[in-house]
Amino acid sequence: MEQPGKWHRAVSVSEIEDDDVVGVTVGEQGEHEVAVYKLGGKCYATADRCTHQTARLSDGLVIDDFIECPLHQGRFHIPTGKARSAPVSIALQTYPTKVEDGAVYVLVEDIQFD
Amino acid sequence: MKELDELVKVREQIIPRSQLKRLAKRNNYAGLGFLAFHFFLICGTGWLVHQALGSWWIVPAVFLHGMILATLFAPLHETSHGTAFRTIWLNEAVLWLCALIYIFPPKWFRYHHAFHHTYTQIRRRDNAMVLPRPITLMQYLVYVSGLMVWRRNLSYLFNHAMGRIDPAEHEYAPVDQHPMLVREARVMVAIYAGIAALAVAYGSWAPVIYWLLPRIVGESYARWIRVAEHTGCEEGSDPTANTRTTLTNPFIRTLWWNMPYHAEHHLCAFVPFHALGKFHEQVYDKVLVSNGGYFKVHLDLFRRFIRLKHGAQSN
Ligand code: FES
Repeated sequence: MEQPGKWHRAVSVSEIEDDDVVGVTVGEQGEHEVAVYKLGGKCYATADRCTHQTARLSDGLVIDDFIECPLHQGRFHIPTGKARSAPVSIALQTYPTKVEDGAVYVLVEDIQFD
Repeated sequence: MKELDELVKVREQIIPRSQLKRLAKRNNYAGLGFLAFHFFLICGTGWLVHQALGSWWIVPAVFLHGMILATLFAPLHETSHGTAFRTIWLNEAVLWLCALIYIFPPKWFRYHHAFHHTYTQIRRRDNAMVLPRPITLMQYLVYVSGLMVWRRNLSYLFNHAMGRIDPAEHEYAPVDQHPMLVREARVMVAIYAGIAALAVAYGSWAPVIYWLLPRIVGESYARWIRVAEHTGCEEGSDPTANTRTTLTNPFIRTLWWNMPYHAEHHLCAFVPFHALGKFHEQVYDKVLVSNGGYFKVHLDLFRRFIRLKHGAQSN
């Protein structure tokens, strides 16, 4: 089944170090703040803002399969977005990714602007 | 969030992310080493209490043991950040162990403390603001006695155990976590009740002599150290001015798990305790540092009390 939304080029694969994260904005008007990760050669994407107090996760630390928030060290499971350790308790939105021509693409639903 | 943006902006100006990432690397060894040292000292001072039973030496022995027990706040604090160990379950187990001895609900502390990091030194927002200006000698003495802290912590513990969450706590503890706060308080109270029941059954005063009494008298030491972290610093969200690093000797630093490098800790709380010394070397000229030790910080505060008093008289 086709997922709703549109693929957007987020970042070159080479711009992300292994086991690291970069923050980008995607969408027609750059309305989605997305964190793109490279874990063991595979790319993932989640919302870039922490569900606790909106710190930018792309400033945080990748530890194994988790992203640790830089502000209060709450952890999320990167592939699923699940909140793993307090103070975070609400899951992160995750986005499907694909790699084409050396770039990571992220599937997001565009917001309609008037 | 304004406070958060300022923190990130200042941090980016001071130290590049690539450097921070290197400093932020976690391991289990450092934490286990510090913990072993800590419990070795606790056993040592506990043994001194035992040796002093029946003599007047019991007074200094209990104080000394209480001071060492009070420093358990350091691993409690570090594990509440999740930075003491790389392995999450180990971190959580040590958090619980320290919290039980320290008599501090651990998850509650994690939420409460997270809020302090967001709103450090912002009046009426920072829930751990110690002695905001103007400070009087009386306020200082009451704070350092630790009595208010006992009152606060015990009231949280027992209220939570009875299923009551103060509306003021909604600010920092998400509603979906309230059942967990109630559960943790009930577990703690049940453990304490079990210890009390055993002590009564065996007619033993050991928990009072080796734990409760030293904990009560030792809390002053923890408060005295904590005064140096922010008191008298600038109010506002600039991390280079609202928090103080206090340079001290390696023994005290080890005992407090490098918490004296407090400005560095607030600048970037995901740098674990064992890397704070290195972090300090890289940023010492950009943060607030007191190089005269804890006595100097307290002496400066006393000078302020005197100035305040004279100011009040001349008005
Ligand atoms: S803002 Fe991310 S854990 Fe608090």
